[in-house]
Amino acid sequence: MVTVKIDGKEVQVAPNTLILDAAKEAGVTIPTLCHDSRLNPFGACRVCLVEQVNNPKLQAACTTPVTDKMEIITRSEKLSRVRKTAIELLLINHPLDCPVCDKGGECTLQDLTYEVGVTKVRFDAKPNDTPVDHTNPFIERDIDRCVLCGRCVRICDEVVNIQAISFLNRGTDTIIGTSFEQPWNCEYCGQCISVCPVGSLNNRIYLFKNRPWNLERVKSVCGLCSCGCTVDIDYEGNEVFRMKESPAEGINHGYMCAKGRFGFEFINSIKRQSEAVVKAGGESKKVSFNEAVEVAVEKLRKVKDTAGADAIAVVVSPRLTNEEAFLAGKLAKDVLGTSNLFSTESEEVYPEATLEEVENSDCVTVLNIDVTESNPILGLAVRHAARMGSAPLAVFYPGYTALKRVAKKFVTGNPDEVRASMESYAAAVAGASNEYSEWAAKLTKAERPVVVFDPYNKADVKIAQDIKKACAKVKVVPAKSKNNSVGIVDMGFGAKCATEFAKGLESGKFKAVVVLGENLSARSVWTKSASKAAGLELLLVTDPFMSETAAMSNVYIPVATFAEKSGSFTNLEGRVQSIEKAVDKGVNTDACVVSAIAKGLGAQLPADANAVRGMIEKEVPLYSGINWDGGVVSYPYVFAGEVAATDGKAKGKGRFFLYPASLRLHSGSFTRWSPDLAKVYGEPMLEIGVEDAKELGIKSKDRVKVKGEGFEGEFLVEIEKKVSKGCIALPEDFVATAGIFCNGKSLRADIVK
Amino acid sequence: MATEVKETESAGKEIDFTACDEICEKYKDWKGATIPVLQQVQDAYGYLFSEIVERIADNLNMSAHQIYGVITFYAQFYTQPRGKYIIRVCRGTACHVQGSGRISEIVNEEFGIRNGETSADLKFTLEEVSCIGACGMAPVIMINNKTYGNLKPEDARKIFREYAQLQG
Ligand code: SF4
Ligand code: SF4
Ligand code: SF4
Ligand code: FES
Ligand code: FES
Repeated sequence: MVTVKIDGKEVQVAPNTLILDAAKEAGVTIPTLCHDSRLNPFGACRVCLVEQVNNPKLQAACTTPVTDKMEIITRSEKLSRVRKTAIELLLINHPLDCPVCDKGGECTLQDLTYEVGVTKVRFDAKPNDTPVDHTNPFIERDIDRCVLCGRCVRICDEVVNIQAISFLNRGTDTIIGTSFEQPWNCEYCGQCISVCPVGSLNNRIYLFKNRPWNLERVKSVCGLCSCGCTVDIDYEGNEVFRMKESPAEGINHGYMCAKGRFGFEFINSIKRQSEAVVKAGGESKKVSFNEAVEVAVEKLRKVKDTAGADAIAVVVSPRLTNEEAFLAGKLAKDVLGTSNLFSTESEEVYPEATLEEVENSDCVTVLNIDVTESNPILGLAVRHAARMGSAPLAVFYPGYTALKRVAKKFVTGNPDEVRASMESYAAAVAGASNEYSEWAAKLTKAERPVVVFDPYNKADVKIAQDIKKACAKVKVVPAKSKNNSVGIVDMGFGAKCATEFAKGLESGKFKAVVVLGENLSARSVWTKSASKAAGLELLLVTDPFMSETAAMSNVYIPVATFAEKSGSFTNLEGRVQSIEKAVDKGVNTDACVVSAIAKGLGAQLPADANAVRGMIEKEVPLYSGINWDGGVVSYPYVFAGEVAATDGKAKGKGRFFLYPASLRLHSGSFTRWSPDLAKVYGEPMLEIGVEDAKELGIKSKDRVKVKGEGFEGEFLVEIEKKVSKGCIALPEDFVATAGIFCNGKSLRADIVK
Repeated sequence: MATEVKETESAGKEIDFTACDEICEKYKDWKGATIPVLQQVQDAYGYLFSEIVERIADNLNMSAHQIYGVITFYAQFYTQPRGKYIIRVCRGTACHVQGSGRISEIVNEEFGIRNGETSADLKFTLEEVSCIGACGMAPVIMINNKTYGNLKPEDARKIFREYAQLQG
């Protein structure tokens, strides 16, 4: 520890602490512009200059480490002058168009201008007037407002590792831009917007819509994927205006992804339903919430009386809160008396490693999953380990992914080859000597090895288990997909196999089915049987939108999205986090639906999240005494039992290997309701490599037919450098593709023009 | 989604990447390979166009945008085709006083190019430079590696015409 004095206050800090951080310790704030504590020190703007006693040279607080007995002065007349000049120089070329700039009211340059007291322009002002760039679908770039702090370039490089933008040119010509001024295509994570201190990079979804001082804010958790990002939901009245990072909070360190940052408009969508619908005798009727519940209750009672409770099934979506899933389970088991609880999730695999453990791992292996697309923040954690911590990263995947840039080893090939490689790798970890021995040794020698895998692919689960068995210190991350994939299992919706539900529909065993938020047609395990649900005595579907399954129902009740309710989600680490209600769209929550049905059946179930939590703590041992704001559940095991060896080989015949692609812009059937995401990615696209496309004479945006054993479909083509030769890929969770992947995760297919 | 293959003006025209790939291979595992690779690829292909930059990026496992940043930072790299003969006219003080501005004008009269530009037949590029360290012979020009000093404007024109006669 060293002792330093800052503005007269003495503090003890670790050696090499930056002056800026030492000052924070002392309770002194030093103004900054280009600094971001998550990025490497840069020192470009000189706004943070401070005086050091007995040193004539001013020091940049954000780059200079303290030394023992150092005395720092952060406020003086000299510093005021220097800071003022630094700001004045920035203002020379600045457009000063604050009234039309989206950043107005939350702009660091504006704040600093007030703070240092610049009131008139001393230099001959020459504002630039360059056209605004709109080539990026989500980000507006107005380079005239840029102060060249480099935060965008640095975060895209150091954190995101995409390097989609760069400093171009030199000296006074320096700008932020892309190679050969190409259109700005990237991951669309918006990290660069989040760090831009001025209005140079703006969120196009929010553009010109509101001003920060009109907005109210709740801190919540994103309800779109299993990462569980802490976010701020900004709203006015009952309209959500943006979902924003909540800096330095939550497991995501203030990072987000395209879905979370730009996809939220589905909450305000005009396509949302506001009225319940009951169908009888071929006629649909809009009814009140109470009437819909009454019809459902009556039918449930009838089915129970005539066919027995076993003819009733309850299906929940992994989008529900823990509280709602728990209530649904109570309704099923205690009120209806059925044990038919279904979801797409299972309790075969539980979470193990936390995101922090991934970030700090010293050896990471990613098995057959495009993790930066499927679970973006987990992807950032992997990149962090590989890039900042220099953990050797090995990735197995049929095509190159964004991890290629940081991976020390990237094994590609067709899915069968990749599978064989992973098996050899697992064998090598277990001691076999083969071409992966060197890599296996890195894993077994590491202190904190981590393995990321796809828990929905049985063959991959087996490999992950084999690795874990051979090397007990390995911590695995089953990359579950949806915001509450983990939680609904904890609430009892993972005990039964999803295929059992399909069988029950096929055989006619189920007469009444309650579907909370799920879209059966878009799930590969259910899509084939989904149409059977249409003829049931009761198909009750709740959904914010009229999904394919909702359209088949005879009782439909529109419900709230995650921004309209309170409760909690459990993320892929097994971390329980609370969500907060921001707006009210005049529809009920799933909890209200369940509670009303229970009431109709003569039982009492609370709809209030807090009351339900009390019940959960008592009845779900895993959650007894849990901290609902970030507590991690301790699971009894990682793998439920010995995973049976499956033949992971691609099924069928055909020139191409077809595998499911993960999509950053869509986590399934739900995000397609976002008008902004849909504009960029509207329908499932067939990804094909450059060489194969050339051989077949296929161009981007062509429509081609994909044909395999038992399936056929027409898709738009997207030519992708990253896809290996002989392979094609389609996203999985679309209605149009679920019917393909119900045949398996790895298939053979032909392309017919 | 990540890497869209872009169609550019030169689409259809096959580019032979062999030389580029060989150079990249040599430097693959080096730290700080970017600059030497760019220099050598530029020597081999004349200038750094977008397809070649993409190729270098793929080979070195880097982002093309980052590489383009490097290219535009250094004056030694070119993103436009350059002439077979690079005419460097010194515009340093000594040469300026001796009327090197007139020589630049003659280049323009002869080939229709100004500073930084290349003639349509890709034969000449004009580059105005500051002092090349031969002030004693001002005004000075260089054509590729050859230096011509004490130039009277009309002598310069003669020299230019001689080069123009040379087989392209
Ligand atoms: S959106 Fe993300 S990937 Fe794109 S430039 Fe910004 S930080 Fe980089
Ligand atoms: S665009 Fe914004 S973040 Fe990027 S350098 Fe300019 S001011 Fe900084
Ligand atoms: S979708 Fe996932 S990664 Fe993206 S912001 Fe939401 S929780 Fe975070
Ligand atoms: S904040 Fe320290 S130099 Fe910019
Ligand atoms: S000024 Fe031309 S050579 Fe020095």
